[in-house]
Amino acid sequence: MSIKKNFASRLSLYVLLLSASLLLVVTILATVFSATFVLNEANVRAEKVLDNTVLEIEKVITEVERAVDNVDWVVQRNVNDEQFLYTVTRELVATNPNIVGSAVAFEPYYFKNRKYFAPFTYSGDISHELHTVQLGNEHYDYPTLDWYQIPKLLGKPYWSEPYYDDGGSGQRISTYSMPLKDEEGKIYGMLTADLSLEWMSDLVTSIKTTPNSYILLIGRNGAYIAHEKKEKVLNETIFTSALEMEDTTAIRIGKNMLAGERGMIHFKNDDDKAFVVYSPLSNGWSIGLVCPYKDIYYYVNLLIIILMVLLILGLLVLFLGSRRIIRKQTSPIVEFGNAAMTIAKGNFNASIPEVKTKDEILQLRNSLDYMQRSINEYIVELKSTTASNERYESELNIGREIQMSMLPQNFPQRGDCSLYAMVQPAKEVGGDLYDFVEVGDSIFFLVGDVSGKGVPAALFMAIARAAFRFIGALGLPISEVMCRVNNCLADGNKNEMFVTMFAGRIDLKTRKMDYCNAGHNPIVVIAPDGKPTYLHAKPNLAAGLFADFPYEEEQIQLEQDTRLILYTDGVTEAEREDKSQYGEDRLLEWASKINSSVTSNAAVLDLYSHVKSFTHGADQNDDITIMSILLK
Amino acid sequence: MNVTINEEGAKALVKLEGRLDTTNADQFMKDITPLMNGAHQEIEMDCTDMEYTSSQGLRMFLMLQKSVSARGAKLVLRNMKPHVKEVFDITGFSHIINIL
Amino acid sequence: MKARLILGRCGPIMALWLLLACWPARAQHVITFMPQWTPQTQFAGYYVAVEKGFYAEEGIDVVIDHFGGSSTESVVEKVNKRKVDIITTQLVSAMIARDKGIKLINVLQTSQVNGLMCATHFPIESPQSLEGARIGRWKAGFAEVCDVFCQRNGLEVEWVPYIQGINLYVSGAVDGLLCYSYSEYLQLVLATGGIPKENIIRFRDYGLDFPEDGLYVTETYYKNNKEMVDKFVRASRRGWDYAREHREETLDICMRVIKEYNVATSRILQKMMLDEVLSLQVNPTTGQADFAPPRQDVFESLKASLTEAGYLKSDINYKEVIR
Repeated sequence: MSIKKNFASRLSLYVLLLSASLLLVVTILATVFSATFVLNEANVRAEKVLDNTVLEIEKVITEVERAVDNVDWVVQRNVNDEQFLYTVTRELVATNPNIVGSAVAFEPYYFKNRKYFAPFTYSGDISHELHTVQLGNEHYDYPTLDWYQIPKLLGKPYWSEPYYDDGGSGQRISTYSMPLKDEEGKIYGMLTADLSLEWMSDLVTSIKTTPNSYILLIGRNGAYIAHEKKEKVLNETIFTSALEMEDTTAIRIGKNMLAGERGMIHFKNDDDKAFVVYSPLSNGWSIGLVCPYKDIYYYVNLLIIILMVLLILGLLVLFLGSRRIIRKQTSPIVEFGNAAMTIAKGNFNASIPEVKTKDEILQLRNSLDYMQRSINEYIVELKSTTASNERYESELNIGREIQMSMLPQNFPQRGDCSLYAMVQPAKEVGGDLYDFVEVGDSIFFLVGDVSGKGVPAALFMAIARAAFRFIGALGLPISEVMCRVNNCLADGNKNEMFVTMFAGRIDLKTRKMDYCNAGHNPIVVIAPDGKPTYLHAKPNLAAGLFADFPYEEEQIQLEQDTRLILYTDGVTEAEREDKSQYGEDRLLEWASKINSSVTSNAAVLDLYSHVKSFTHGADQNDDITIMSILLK
Repeated sequence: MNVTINEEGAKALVKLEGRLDTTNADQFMKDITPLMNGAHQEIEMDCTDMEYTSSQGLRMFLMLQKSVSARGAKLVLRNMKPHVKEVFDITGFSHIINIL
Repeated sequence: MKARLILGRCGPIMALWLLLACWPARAQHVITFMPQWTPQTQFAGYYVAVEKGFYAEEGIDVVIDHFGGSSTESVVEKVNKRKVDIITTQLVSAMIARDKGIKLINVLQTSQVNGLMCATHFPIESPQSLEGARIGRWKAGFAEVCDVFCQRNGLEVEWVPYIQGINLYVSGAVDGLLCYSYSEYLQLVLATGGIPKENIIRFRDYGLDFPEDGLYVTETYYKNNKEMVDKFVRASRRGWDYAREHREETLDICMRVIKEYNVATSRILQKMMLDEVLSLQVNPTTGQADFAPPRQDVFESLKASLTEAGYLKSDINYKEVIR
């Protein structure tokens, strides 16, 4: 069960990893896209807001400039009217809520030979009451002050850098100075209006596109006119922090703004990434809107976090769900495993579970089922084959036993004859026989080879032997013996078994041999001088096939020291590994080397070993039967 | 031993190739069963490539001969190799079976 | 007995009243000190000496009254009129004062290296580049060295007098601005993000390396209050030495003082100024901030230049000026 769990888990894990990777890629792409999109949107929005703010400020600036412009010609016309000049300044302050101070300052010694003449009206800091005074004394040498001197040197209207007007309204102001020129274009005085910057400060701090965005406003000298951090206003310039931190981007931003450029730059604001959109104002100042990425990406980040959480949850569900499904789908496999185990243990009839789906699992089931049945059939067949083999084996064994029991081992001990025989049975064949009987001074012998094997062959051989013994003992001619034996064998022999035989009777006194051949191999006759020849007897027919077959006998006169070698085809057809056979020639060759002094025992064994050394260890496929009869 | 049977009407031309010994005697028996049970009037066996036959084989041939004779048909063994024919001669089978 | 700082912005008027009011009753251990400009780290050593109690340890009570830019009298005039006891001023100013009969003596020389510069809107290839240029300079003075320079190089410059600040420059109303390396120059850097090197000229590179700031008292005052002056000088030295070693702490002290006066500045500017002032106090010959009095040869050279420029008419004695 635990293996199964791992498979489902493993598969689910792969699915999970694959899904996670894909989803991660998609999420990253989506994030990047949405981040870029959001940033662009923020840019556009920031620019819009900046432009609106610029418009607001320009409106006020223009108002002041226009107000001053409007009274220019009036002042020009009434330049000698002291009282009027005072009134003009009062009017300017009274009618313009943004103008908190106004002056008409003259060149030293221009106005009625006074060194200083500068009527000045200002609105009080708290009470907003109008106060009119004379500017200019030894301690307030206005001709050398920026608001007078700079526009004079430039020859055109000038918005001063913001400063605290301690001597007047007590507020942060910027003075708009318009040079008064005579017909020759020579400057003889300044017409000024002080613009309070407090409202500007409030305006800019209230403008936010996002919670942490802020406006910064700088003058021509880089000093902050408005900033979120009030302590920086007028005290620090846009380069103050930048130079301290050696922040080249911030320096670049400052220089761009001071150069009156309009643009957008991305930078790092105290370790937080932000962008600033900036735009120049008509009076030489510059305004910028800083938008921290933190704010912009706030919702994007939130979205990503939510997405991530959902993703992780989803993947978890995917993992668990797919694991469960896989486990269910592959449960038949476990059952197959169990069934296979049961079958392997010997229960070949174990039932293989059914499968409902029509897929590979069904195929597996069918294969398993087929395999089970095949195994069963095979086993059944094996059992029957084994059984029949065993029967066969035992049959052969029985046959062998019968065969061996019929081979006489008491060889004659006579002075006039040496006889020895052996049968070396092959594994499967139980067909050869030999027999001999001493009847007085005659010796009656035979060698035979039964076709077929097993018990039937052995019985056949037994009948043949018995028949011979019985009929032979009757003293009948050998051909008659053979006929009768043949008839015995042919009777009821439906399997067409036959036995080739060579039977003979030697009268040891006369050394005359009667013999009858029934389809057997020609025997070897070794003359006293050692020369061997084959005795070509009439073949007649192997016994047991046709009843009443006319067997014919023959006769031959033998001599002393003549040796007869009888054998079966197990000798001549003995094969070595290359399938070449011992053959008749080799037998004859061996026979030429055997001398009459060798006992039949030795001769037989010698021939046997000769055959064996020829076959050189190859399997013996037929019985080897050898008989040696030496007439002494 | 390979047994190839070609039928030409009522005549069977059989080609025998290889050895016939105790190991394949049963198989040979099976192979010639159609000839034994069949209705061929003439069976001609080409023994050109028959290498060897044991006494088991002789039995088979004898049985075939008997069944063929029983239904009045003819059996002929042709082109037998000399050493194989020798076996038939020695056993006297050449008198029983038609060997050409 | 803690030292006190008096608001100098609203006026010398107020200070004057206070001083006049207290004059007869002024205790012998009180000394009024007037730095020559508004509160900034240019005078760090003195603020530190007050804060760290160095003056107190000497047993003297110090009142610091800063010079206001709008004042009609110079610091030299003020000390001469005994409105204040001890001032900082430049060697040049003291010499010119001597020439006019104001007998000032140098009791401590803090500045060892000249810091006067000119920053322009155009590249300066040679002194001739300034010919005909419109250059801003302080109404209150401090630019005699520059006059020497112009005279030596035969330059005609259109001077634009101003009170303080750098708006003349950034507004483009002038071609160039005289500035001190520890003061307006740093403001310019902070205002513009940096002035190109080619747009700067340092007068000390043109043979005008005369030392600047030092402590001065009148001969009379010195005669009557030698001990106190010595104590003041001693404690002030300690103050400067301490400032050199403890910059951040010094900055904190200075910022506190500056904040009281509502001066528009930033800590960074003050830090830059402090570093520059302290580096100008290093004697180039010895490599130490040893407050070495101006050398006679330097004095004589300056005397010659000033005479040549028309600032000195009489022959002033080195030994009389430098204690």
